[in-house]
Amino acid sequence: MAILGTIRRQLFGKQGTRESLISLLPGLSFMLVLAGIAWLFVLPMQDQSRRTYISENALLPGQALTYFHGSEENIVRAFKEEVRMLSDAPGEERAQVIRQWISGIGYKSATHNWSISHYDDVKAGLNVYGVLHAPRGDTTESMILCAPWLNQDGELNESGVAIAIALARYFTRWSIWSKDIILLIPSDSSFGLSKWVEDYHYTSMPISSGSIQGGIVLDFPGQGGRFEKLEVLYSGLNGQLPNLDLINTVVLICGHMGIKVIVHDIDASDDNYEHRAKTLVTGIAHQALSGIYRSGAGSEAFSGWRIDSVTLAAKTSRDGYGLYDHMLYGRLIEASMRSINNLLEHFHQSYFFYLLLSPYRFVSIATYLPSAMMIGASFTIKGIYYWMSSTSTKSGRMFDQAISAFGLFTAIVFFSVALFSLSSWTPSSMLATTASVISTVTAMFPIIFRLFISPQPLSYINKLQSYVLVFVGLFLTTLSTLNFSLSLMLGLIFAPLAHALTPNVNSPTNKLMERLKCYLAKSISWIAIVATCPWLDIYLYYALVVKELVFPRQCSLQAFRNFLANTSHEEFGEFLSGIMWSWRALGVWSFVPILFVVWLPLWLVACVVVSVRAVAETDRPTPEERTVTVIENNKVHEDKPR
Amino acid sequence: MPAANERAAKIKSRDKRRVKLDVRQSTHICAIYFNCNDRTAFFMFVLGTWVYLFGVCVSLFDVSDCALSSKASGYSESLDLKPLPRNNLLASFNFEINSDLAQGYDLVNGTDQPVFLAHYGLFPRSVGQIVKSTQTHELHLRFTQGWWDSEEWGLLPHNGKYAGGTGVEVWAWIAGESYDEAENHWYELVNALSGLFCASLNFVDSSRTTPNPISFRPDPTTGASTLIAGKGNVSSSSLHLYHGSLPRETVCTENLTPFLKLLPCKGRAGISSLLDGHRIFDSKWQSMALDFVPTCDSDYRCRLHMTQKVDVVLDVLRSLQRRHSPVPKPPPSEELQCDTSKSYHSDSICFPLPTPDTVNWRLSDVFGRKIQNRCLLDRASENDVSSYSVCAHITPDWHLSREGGVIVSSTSSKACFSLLENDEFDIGFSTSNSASVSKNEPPPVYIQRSMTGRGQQNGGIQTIIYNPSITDSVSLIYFESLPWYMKPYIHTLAATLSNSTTSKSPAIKREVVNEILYRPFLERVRGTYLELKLDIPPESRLALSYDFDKTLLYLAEYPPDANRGFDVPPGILTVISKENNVSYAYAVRTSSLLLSLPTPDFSMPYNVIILTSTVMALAFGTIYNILVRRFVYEQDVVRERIPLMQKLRQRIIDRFSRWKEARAPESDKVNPGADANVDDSLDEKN
Repeated sequence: MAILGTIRRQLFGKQGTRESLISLLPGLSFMLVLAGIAWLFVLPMQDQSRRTYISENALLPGQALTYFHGSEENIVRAFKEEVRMLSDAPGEERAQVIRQWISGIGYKSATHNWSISHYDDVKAGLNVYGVLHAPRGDTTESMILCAPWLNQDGELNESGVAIAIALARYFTRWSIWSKDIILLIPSDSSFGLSKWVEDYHYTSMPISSGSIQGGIVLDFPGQGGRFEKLEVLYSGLNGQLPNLDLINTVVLICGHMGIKVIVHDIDASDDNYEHRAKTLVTGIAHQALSGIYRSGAGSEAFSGWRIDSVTLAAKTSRDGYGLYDHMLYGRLIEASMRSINNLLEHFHQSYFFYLLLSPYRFVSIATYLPSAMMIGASFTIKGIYYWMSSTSTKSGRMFDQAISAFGLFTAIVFFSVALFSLSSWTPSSMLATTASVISTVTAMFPIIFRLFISPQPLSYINKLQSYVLVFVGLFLTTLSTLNFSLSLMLGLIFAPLAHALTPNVNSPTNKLMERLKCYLAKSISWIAIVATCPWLDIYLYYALVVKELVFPRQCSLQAFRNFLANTSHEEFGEFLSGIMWSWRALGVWSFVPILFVVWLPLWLVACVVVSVRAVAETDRPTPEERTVTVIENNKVHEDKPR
Repeated sequence: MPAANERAAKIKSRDKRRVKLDVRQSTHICAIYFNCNDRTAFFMFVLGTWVYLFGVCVSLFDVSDCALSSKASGYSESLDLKPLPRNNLLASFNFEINSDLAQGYDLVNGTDQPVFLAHYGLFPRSVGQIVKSTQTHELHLRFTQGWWDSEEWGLLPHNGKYAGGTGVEVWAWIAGESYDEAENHWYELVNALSGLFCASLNFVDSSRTTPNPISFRPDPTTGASTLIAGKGNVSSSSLHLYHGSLPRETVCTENLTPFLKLLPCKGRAGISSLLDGHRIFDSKWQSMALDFVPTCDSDYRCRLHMTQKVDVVLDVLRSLQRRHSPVPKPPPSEELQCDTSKSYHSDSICFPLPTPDTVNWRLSDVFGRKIQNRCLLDRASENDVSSYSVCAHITPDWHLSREGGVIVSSTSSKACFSLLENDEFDIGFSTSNSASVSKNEPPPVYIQRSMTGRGQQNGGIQTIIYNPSITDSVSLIYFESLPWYMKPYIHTLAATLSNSTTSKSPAIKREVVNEILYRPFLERVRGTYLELKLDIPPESRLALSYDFDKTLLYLAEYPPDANRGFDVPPGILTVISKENNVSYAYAVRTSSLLLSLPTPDFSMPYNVIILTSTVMALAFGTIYNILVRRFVYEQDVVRERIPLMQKLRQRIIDRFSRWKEARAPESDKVNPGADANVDDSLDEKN
């Protein structure tokens, strides 16, 4: 014990161990946030990532010769002509014509009529699909060849659809298929496709096949039939990813064929730190915002159904010229389908949790997870700090405070959940208006709190903060295993709310420096509150990322007015309804529910912390506390003579 | 009376023994001749068989019996060719073998011993012995692969009577005093068949066996039921029906070869010479059936009837392509069949025509060889053309050309040919409109089954049965057997009826579902058995659905390819015939389903084993070291290395002290040699 005592004295001096340890926590918490960010930027270093490799032996990518060339090109050209002629046809007519082609090449074909509605906002379309029953198979397994009529940018997927149909026709001549081939031409790459996948698994389709093992989505707009590079799009919804083997297969086949392949639209032809870091950050952003960022590329519709799929987007240069032609693209699809066909088991051998740094490099979950975990843990530690520091004195009032702070926290959460259901019930046309009302009301909250909540002791405020931070910490660490990117992003957004807030305490002294310090802290708190306001962030995201506007450089009113004028009320409403649709129709739980159930409560609590006048404990000490102080004073006096 | 019976039995058994001996000799000869593989030898064999048969007949029965037997115990084979839409060809091979007529079951004594298999003529002995030793009265075995397109191809061949579900399916009627005895016979039977047909039938254990499903009650006019109906002494309680299926089994050439070996000509002559594994298994759908059914006449004289059928749907164009190249290389652009009416049509742009209408192919193109010879086993039937026929079912748009053989009959819709001895036979098919085919009747019902739901915890099964008839309702039995690791909730069983007029009427279970037979699963012992008797009104679609839970298995219970999923056997739909309400008019199977169960990461136990083994090894090594090694302090070792002078001094002191002791009165007895010993030991120590 004596040794322990010595150590304690050495470390903490005269302070008690408990107090000293507690005083370390804020620093530790802040260091964890920094460490989490630093960890992320260690990942793109040369030695921290691994080269991709094919883990599933059965895939044998690029081992089979491809024969989609020669006179097949005549057929691709003909289907391109046909697709072009159909580009302006109404959905019904288009579906019937495509169905005729599909039946003509020997597939069982059907149309799938889908519609989803929310009050008067109706989305509907007509998908066409056909099934080639595997010549020697028994319809227990299948794979998907999908070419959405409109790609994610709303362009006509002209070459994609033509190649898909010509390939499907060519596939009938092979007898090697072990799985059925489903040729799917959905009306669009987002809702139409995901509705088809859902209906395939829940309702009776006129034509059905077995369980879908994998899929390839073709995205090749334009007439030229030439492309410059191939982008592999793989992000699924809610942070789900296809098996890494599928991406590796495609990338490897591209390598064999000499096709330049990119991920996340970043040309990383020279493998350096900058490119890897850029790919990593873009990948994280895409994963975190999948389903919200823009309309889906197609492959994400299959995530959640245990179907691994990628979208292969052929990128043309501006002048429509490219090194590679559409037949090469077709052979790439052929080889990929052959590989999926080779599978004996479902994709399972390789990673499901990974971050790509380039098409050829990745980091696995064991390497990257600490980053988000550290940031998540920093909230828990800060929460523990607030709890510990507010219960340093024993008294009955503390318990009452804990209860009443918890009551306030619960009320705030309930309020947020109520807003959530309100927003889900709001018709799409009213969304923009509702959003502005809600955001105005919530902007008023700091003032309302200031006016209507009487000054509270500091420990009360600390308890409130402690609840919400522990809650957020638990949430983020759990989320990081499901959706690393979202957890990391939210952690970074929330970090100021854990570290930059100062309770609204009157400055104790009249010293100038002290007062300045106090004002500085208060203004930092307010900046943090404004910067993390969910509504403002959503608006900025919309303006800067979706609309790609440039934030005004000079700080004049005119510049801001111009900036605001570029985003119309209706368009913003459409954007919001898109977000709501992604939750309602696609089941993207990773944004709207989290916004209301985590982000908003955290922010409201932060508002309470900053706006409600806090009374420092020493101002009104309890009788017991007073005696303690007196005794301590006496001790000090006793010590002095020595 | 009992004494007389005994005597009769003795005589019978003696006869049997004699006949057995003969058979052994005969098969021996047969084997030798076949090894020679010579035409004359073959002829000798045929002749020998005939002579032998005659001898047997004479020895067993009177002459009139023999004449009857020779006529019906023969062997017949036929092949029906039928072009299907989209240049497909349905080829149905049919082989029938009758055993000789024999005195029926020993019904008088009430024991159900099948005694008629006293000798084997053309009847395959391998099957016969298995059937006999396991007291099987009726056996059905199916090997099926592929998917039958009932929308385009219509009814299944033979009304689905000889088509099985995906993989292997087997059902049999087995006699047994008790249920356990019969069940043991059943496992014996499937194990024996497993060896005979190179199929994994030995995996048909209790969890894959369904006893007494009503879907497989045989036709009352044939088979084992004639035994039951015939005398009444063979009570239905002593016959047990078992059904088992292996949806996972891949049917391949190793199953076809033993199948052909059962035929008298073993795939070397006659239509069976077409059965080449490479072609048969490159088909869109194929089913091999082996049926083994006794038929008894009114005098309880029974005959075993074995039917072997191979039905196969071949893609003609794909088979033709094989002639040019094994891979589908794109044809030269001149050979493309283009739609020239398109406005953009040019040399480099070609909109393909659906399927070529003008086709011209020969049987040998599709099967890779011509029909060799004729499987003639019987001089008497040399001129009987009906039992060796090849028939083509066509429309007037088709033109047939023949090479070898003789025409038996020819109408605009059907042409039949007979094979000739020492002859090669081939038919050419040509038409300018390949879409014109003689239509199969549409099936009375369509069925489709699929898995619903997401996730690894639970799921659902949905079966849709559609009755296309405008006027008639259909009564049917739907049979499903599920593996035990699928835990269905029967309370969730919902039947939803919808037709073109009313969109959906839920909860009409009582009107449509007449009867539910259900035996719940027992974990690791038996699976769920569910049978529903349904009535489906005309033009209606019935959706049957229920939910189930998925089970987490023990580690050792996962197959090596656990991530593929687990196959759920096909559901079997049997349409009950309207006329007599007992026999079955049509049978159709759904495709099997793939059930994905929650699967552990199998590398994890491996990692755990590696890790724990390493830790154990380290810990063991350390502890073993501590336990076994003798530890000595370094100082001690150094201290024992005594300098020479000190050693000498020590010795002197020792000697001195001993000398002192020796001088003491009580130490007189001390042996002087002891001194030397002590010295030695000291030396050793040093």
